[in-house]
Amino acid sequence: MHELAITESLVDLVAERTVGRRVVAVTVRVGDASGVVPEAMAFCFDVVAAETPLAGAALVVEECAGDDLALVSVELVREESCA
Amino acid sequence: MCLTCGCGDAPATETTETVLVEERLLAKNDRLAEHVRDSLAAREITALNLMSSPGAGKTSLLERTVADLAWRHTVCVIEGDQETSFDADRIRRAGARAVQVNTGAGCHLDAAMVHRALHELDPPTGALLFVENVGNLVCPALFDLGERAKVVVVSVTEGDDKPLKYPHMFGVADLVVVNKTDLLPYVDFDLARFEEQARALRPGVEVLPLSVRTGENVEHWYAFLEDVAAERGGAAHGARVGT
Repeated sequence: MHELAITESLVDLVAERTVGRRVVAVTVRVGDASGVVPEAMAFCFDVVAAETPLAGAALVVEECAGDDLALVSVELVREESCA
Repeated sequence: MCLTCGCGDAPATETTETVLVEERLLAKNDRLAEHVRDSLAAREITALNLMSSPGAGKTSLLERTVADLAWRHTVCVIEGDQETSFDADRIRRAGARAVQVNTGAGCHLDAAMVHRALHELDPPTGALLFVENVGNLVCPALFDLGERAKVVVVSVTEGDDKPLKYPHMFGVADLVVVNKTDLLPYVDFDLARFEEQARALRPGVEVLPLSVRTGENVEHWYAFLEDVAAERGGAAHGARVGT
């Protein structure tokens, strides 16, 4: 199941971009000709994200036509500072 | 009390922010594949990615290729399988350098595995390098390994309906080899139907029926390899017009 390897790439990519910040949601775009099954990716996501700063984050899949397979955006907990 | 620094302020309600990223999920693999492609090109090494279902005859095709082309090419092979070094052992017995990559639970090779294997294999300048992917008609189609051409191998015993069943695989093929043609009298394999399906997914792709066992048409396989090595065929110049 290649969705596992692709989801690992996703989690690595998000971790690189968010360096330890807590992630609430991750939005990806998955084309209908990309070769990736969104349900399989969602199944893998919870497993791969466990014990990373992404643990518990929601995976939002935007399905589209074509072979696109991309990380769209990341929703992060805003870092508060005391006034 | 604020939990962050212990000041007297009431804890703020947790708020979130959305950061746009827009990056391809396979960007890391694809960057590494480009690095592999560039470093192979610098050493004039021709790399081909062989993909098929298990048992189509990839390793047998390579054994024959090693035996027939050894006089004019240094052939090197990266063998991908979940377990065992059976295939690399066969290639070495045939007379070529080979490195076995075991993917464990993995169902395909990726650019990082090929990159690591290349450091071990260290193919000489001008070599013909085959990457024999894990037997699987689904997952390997998605991963660029830095090859110059992708070859899909099927055998006539698998049935002539495989292209439409596995469109991603046939959609990326630069050449489709139909192996075991010596068994055609014993199976219901409609070559014309197969070619029509393959070309619907990859217009103009060459479909090459051959028999590794009898040697029928293997000279056309070697001609394709020479074309790719001379950058007249394969991904470098798109699929060739079929015969």
